[in-house]
Amino acid sequence: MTAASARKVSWWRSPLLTRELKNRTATPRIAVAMVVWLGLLSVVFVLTYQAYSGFDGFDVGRVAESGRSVFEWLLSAMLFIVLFLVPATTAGAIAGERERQTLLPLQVSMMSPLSIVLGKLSAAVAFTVLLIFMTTPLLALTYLIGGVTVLDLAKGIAMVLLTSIMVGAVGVACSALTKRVQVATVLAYGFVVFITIGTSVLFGAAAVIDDSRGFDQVNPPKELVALNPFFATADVFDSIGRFTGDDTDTPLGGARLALDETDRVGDFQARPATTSTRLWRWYVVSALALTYLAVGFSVVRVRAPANVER
Amino acid sequence: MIAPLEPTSAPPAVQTWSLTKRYGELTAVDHVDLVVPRGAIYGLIGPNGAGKSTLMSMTASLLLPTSGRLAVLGHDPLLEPLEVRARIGYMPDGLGVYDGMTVAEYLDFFAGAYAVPRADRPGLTTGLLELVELQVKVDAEVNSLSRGMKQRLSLARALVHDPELLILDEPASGLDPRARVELRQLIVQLRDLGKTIIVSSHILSELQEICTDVGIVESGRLLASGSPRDILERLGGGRRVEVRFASGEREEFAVADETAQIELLRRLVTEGRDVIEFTEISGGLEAVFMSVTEGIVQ
Repeated sequence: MTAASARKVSWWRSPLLTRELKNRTATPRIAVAMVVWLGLLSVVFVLTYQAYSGFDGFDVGRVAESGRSVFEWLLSAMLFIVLFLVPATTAGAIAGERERQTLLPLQVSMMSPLSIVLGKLSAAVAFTVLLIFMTTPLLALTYLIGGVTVLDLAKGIAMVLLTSIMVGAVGVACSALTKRVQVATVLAYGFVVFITIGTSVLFGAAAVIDDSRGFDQVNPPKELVALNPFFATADVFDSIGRFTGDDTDTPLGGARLALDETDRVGDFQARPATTSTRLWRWYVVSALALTYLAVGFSVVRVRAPANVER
Repeated sequence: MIAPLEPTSAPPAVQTWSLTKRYGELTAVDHVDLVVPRGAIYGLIGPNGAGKSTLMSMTASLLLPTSGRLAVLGHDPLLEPLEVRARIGYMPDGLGVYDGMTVAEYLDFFAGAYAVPRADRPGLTTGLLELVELQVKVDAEVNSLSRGMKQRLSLARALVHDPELLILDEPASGLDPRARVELRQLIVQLRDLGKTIIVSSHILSELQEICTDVGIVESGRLLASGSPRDILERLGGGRRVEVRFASGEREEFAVADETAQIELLRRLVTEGRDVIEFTEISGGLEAVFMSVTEGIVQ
């Protein structure tokens, strides 16, 4: 036998990360998840392509709009699926260890609380990265159709990835907060509902209140949707209007429209790239801050010795 | 009982100074001064809720004391938790198993958690499974094991990093009689390998045969601590001997020690009394435990 030296186990060498990755990739569930993921996105791709490609003659603007629309529909679907999947994969991270009574042996091992938390989080994010990687061929097709630059692809993927990290970190924090996986799952989905539907409703309500006051300009605070991944992802792209004078008929286009309409009264005009609201910057900063806080909170909850046994 | 320890100059494996843990109004551990000598099998005995697990959790660097101090193998668990964790093996009350993991994978996982080099792990796993007699279950799923086997596997898990001190919280809980005997033998075997072992139980008979030292805990207080012989002498109320005579008459005598006991027998024989039976009737640790803990409840 070998006496352990008093050195921590780094999170990237953590057996938890290895085990989580193995569990997520070596089971039939992963095959099902991959088929569902690719199947859904392929359906989105085919339907939107058919819907937008039905025009006569060759029009560069329309081709660009069609490629961009398919791209944005794909991104919207990816965001939706990530928001749906990540809470389920992270809510059991710590609470599940408690339920299995495996947390105490981990806490007295040479794994630091950060190593335990990051091991769990990085496994969940790695799963998302795998799914995004699998989507690359579909995204590349939109690039071939047109209207999408390589930078757009990178920005879109970065937003999906950032969203999965933030939601994953909050999911792990919910899991560290409660003793039951079910409660953690409800909390994590509650967070997702809040940042998507809740913030949209608040933003809409603020716009209605502004409008009812008879102001010339409806201008609700954009900070209300600073944590909304759909609004932020919409904002990260310039309007397609530079090609067509109009925006895409996609969830992201709709979000951009909502942001722009609240800026202007009268006929909608496509937002020039130079006057972007830059909401996405708020989102990046907020998401990173929230991730940091969520990881910090989880570490505090897992750390031992503590005042109460967790 | 196991032979008492030889005096040693090494610092104790565990020492606490007025260690206290409160949860709001409840005092789980109340000013405990504990000394666990190196190489001991130290039995913490007390009823459920006495504070044994809380005391063990603080020793295992899991819980912060409310007040007081403790040192584990010369290190403070609050200031140097990693130094302590590298040297202790902790087996909590719960078994803690993962679904879909084989016995070998389970030990490999925890060996990784203690930074045991990958190359050393196969040999380590084999050695530990031989020690706990689970080598035939190496490829079995952990969840398929009986409770007794899971307990032994849990003990093997606590040994993956070759700790100096083992903290076993109610290891015999839920085991059948045979598994209890096997576990006791395993604990003695580990002590022979040089480990110090702290083991808790609410059943005294489980521990009194194997422990070199015993601590009786109730309501968070350490009522008595020391070798079983010391405790008996201090708290056993002295020796009593019951004598049965040929006439059928029975009589009880109080004696101070073994010499007085021999003297008594000699005197009775000299006096011409027909002694049929001469029995020491001290209730042992169990009687001490009952009397001491009853005193607290009252």
